[in-house]
Parts: sequence; structure tokens; C-alpha cells
Amino acid sequence: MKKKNINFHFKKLDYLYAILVLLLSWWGLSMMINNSAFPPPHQAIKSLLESLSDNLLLHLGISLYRVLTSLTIATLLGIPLGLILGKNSSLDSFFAPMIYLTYPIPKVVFMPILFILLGIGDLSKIVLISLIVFYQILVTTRDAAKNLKQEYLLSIKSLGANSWELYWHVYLPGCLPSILTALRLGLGTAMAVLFLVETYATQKGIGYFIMESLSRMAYDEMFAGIIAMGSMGFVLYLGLDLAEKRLCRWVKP
Amino acid sequence: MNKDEFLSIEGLDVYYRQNKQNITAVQNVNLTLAEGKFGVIIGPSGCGKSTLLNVVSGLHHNYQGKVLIDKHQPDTYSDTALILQEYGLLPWKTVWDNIMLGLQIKRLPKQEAIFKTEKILEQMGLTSLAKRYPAQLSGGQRQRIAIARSLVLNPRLLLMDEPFSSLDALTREKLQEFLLSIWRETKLTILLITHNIEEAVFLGQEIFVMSPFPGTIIQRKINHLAGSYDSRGKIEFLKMTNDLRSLLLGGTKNEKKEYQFSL
Repeated sequence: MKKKNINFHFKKLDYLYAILVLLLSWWGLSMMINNSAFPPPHQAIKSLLESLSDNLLLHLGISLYRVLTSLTIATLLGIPLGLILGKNSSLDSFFAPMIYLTYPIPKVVFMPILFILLGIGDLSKIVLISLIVFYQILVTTRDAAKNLKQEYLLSIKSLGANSWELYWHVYLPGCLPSILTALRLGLGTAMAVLFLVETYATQKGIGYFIMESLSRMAYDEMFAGIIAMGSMGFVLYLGLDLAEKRLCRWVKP
Repeated sequence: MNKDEFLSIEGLDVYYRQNKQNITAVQNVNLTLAEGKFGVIIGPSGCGKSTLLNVVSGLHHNYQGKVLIDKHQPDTYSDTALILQEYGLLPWKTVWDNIMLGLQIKRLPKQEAIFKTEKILEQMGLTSLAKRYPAQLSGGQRQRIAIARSLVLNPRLLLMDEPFSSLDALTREKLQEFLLSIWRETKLTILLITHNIEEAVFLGQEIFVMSPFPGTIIQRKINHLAGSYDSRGKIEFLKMTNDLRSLLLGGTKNEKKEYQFSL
């Protein structure tokens, strides 16, 4: 227990050092560049605090809703489909060519089509982010399910397990570490796409906040938006980290 | 049922598909094992021993011939338990959950499952390991848990596929003796696969020797030395191991000759 506490404090200190190094580098760079488009960190932080009491929280909330909904949809579709394809080789060999053909296509090119078909509201944005993250989760889950040790499956089958029990007791928990890794990678992609979709045909969201600040040349506000977006990604990343620690205790017992 | 034919295999051929061809894994296997007996199958690597065990455990269905356990076909017989070479424990479940799993799958009421799990852990001296994950256990401990997971189901036939092959010599001997004590207590019918000749002679009342791929039973030996703790040092033990070695080497030599001939 004591050891755990020590590790926890070390981790907290590591993060503090990292933040300090980042802020110092930022400050040094802004001094070197000496341009109003690259304000020093204290100005951005001051602007962040002011914006938070203004409308930044609203934009942040909307972006969070979009990214969380997208991740949830991608996860709910990607995991079961990936597990089914990983378990059934005949189904996989039927769908694999379609996946291989469509996976490398950059899905952002569908953004205009989705805007036309689904409107410029939240739906088109959520569908686009979901589509991108879905592929990452699908392919990773399927590959993890295919590579599960046969020994695990045989031992449970020999106990008389049915298909549902195989999914629940073997495939899902066995693939969970890979799924969480895919979610982590997907989160990074989702944040990037979120910024992109929020810069078009919308007046809500952190992407809009950043670009709107840029258009007004309110650079300290723009950086406040960047800090807010980065912090949102960081908190979500920590959430996934925590989920892995809770759900995959067996990986590093 | 004839008590001498608790497990009965007649004219068994097993196939699998490889590169669009049917490959024969085992050919014309005949074997009977009486209830309560400890049978051991020994044969060279790749001769189809594990395939044979998969058929008996109901996991492999693509075969011809007759396989009956207490007059039931393997896939309809539920009193079988299988222990695999790498123990088959799920790394994401604790020892407790691994043992409970079989009982859950057999749809036992929760309270009864908890009671049985507690009891088997206590009987086998494993209670202190209940909350650990398999990765936190030694090879010997994992194998004991695998045995506990099988025994908690009260099977009548225990199938073991090279269960001690990845253990060091000392742990292997300890676990062989542990298995014997369980067998004596429970009066289970056990069919164990090994490629270790000493293990076969120490454990098997009946030893079935398999030929190289595609495997078939080339000899059945009745072994009166089985289960005796001090048998390992006896001359009869060495004689039996030498007999088996000759049989197995004979099979391997034949295989070599055929190979050279085909060149």
C-alpha cells in the first residue's frame, strides 16, 4: 500500500515536471519569436480563466459531447463486430477484402457528403468521427480475437461453454487490452477530426472557438482554446488509463 | 455397461483439412479403459496423441469409428474434464474465478458453486491463492489450480494432455505424486498423454504406445508398478522404461527408413 502511494506521488510529480517544462519551453519560444500571434503562457492562461467564465465551457461541453458520443458509438459497433469476425474465420474471409479496401481511405474526405446527407448539425460530425474510430477499433479487435491462444478456447469449450459464454469469458476480456489501446489511438484521431469538423459550418464547439478567435486576431483566446482542447484530450486519455487499470488488472498484477 | 469398457474406442480414424486435402491424424485406433483405471498414452511428438484426446473430450468431431464413454458419444457426455499442456487457465480471471467458471457454465446455483469452490481450494491447500491471477503463480501452482478446476466439476473421466511437460523435474515428480493421491481418493478414470517414458511407467496402470504420424496404438502394456512411490528405483521400473523406449525408437526408426526410402 505504501509502495503504491509512493508511486502515485512520483507520477503526480512527473506530471508537474512535464507541465513546468512545457510552460517554460513555451515561454522561451514566445520570447524568441516575439510576435503577438504567439503569446507567452501567462497571457493564454489569464485568457483561459476569463473565457471559462464567459462561453468557453459551453463550447467545451459541446465538443466533449460530440467526441464522447462518437467514441461510444464506435466502441459499441466496433467491439462486437470485431469479436464476431475474429471468432468466425469464414465470415472474416468474406468481409476482410471490404475492410482492406475501405480501411486506408481517409474518411475525412466524406465530410462534405455527410454534411449534405445528414445536415450541418451534430449528427454529421458524430457520424464522421465514429466512422474513423470505428475502423481502428474493428481491425484491432478482430486481430486480437484471431490471435487469442487456442488453449483458452479449448479449455472453456471442454467445460461445455456455448458461443455467448466464449465471447463473454474469453474473447472480450482477452481482447480488452488491445481494444483499450485502439481506443487510446482512436481518441487522438477523434480529437484531430473534431477540430476539423468544428471549423466548418458551425458556431459551437472548441474548434469553432479557436478558429473564431484566430479570425479576430485574439491570439491569447485562441491559445486558451488550444489549452482547453488539449486538457480535454488529456482528461479523456487519463480516463482510458484508469479504465485499463480497473479492467485489465491481470496484465500487470 | 461392461465395467471394463468405461472408455471404448474402436477403429478410430481422425482427419483434418490442410491445403484442401484430408490429412489422417490418427489411424485405426482401438483402446478400452475400465472405470477407475489410470491409462497413459505415450508416443512420439506429432503422432496424434492430442488429437485423440480432443476427440474423447468432444472437441473434435471430424472422425470415423466408434468412441463411447459410459455408452455415450463424447459430445453428449458431460462428466469429462480436460486439462491442457499449458493448464488452460484464463489469465484475466483470478484463481477463484477460474475455478468458479466451470460451475457457472454447468449452471450450478451460485451458493452451491461458492461452497464447492471454497471446499476444493481448502482440500487442495490452495485457499491462500484464491485472489491471485495465474501470472502470479508458479508453474506447479498453476497446474494444481487446473486440477482443482477440473475436480470441482466431479468428473468421471479426467483427460490430461501432457500436463507436466513444462515443469522442472522436481515439481513434476511432486505433482505426479499429488495426482496419484487424488486418483486414489476420487477413484476417477484418468487418461493422460505424455512423451515422458518415466512418467508413463510411474502413473499408468495401462500404457498405450502410439506409433509415429499417423498414429495408431501399437501396444497396450499392463503396468503393475504404477502408483507405487518407491517403484522408481526398482529394476522392473528400468526394464519397463527400456521396453517402452525400444518400442518408441522402433517406431521412429521405421519412420526414418521410410523417409530415406522416399528420398
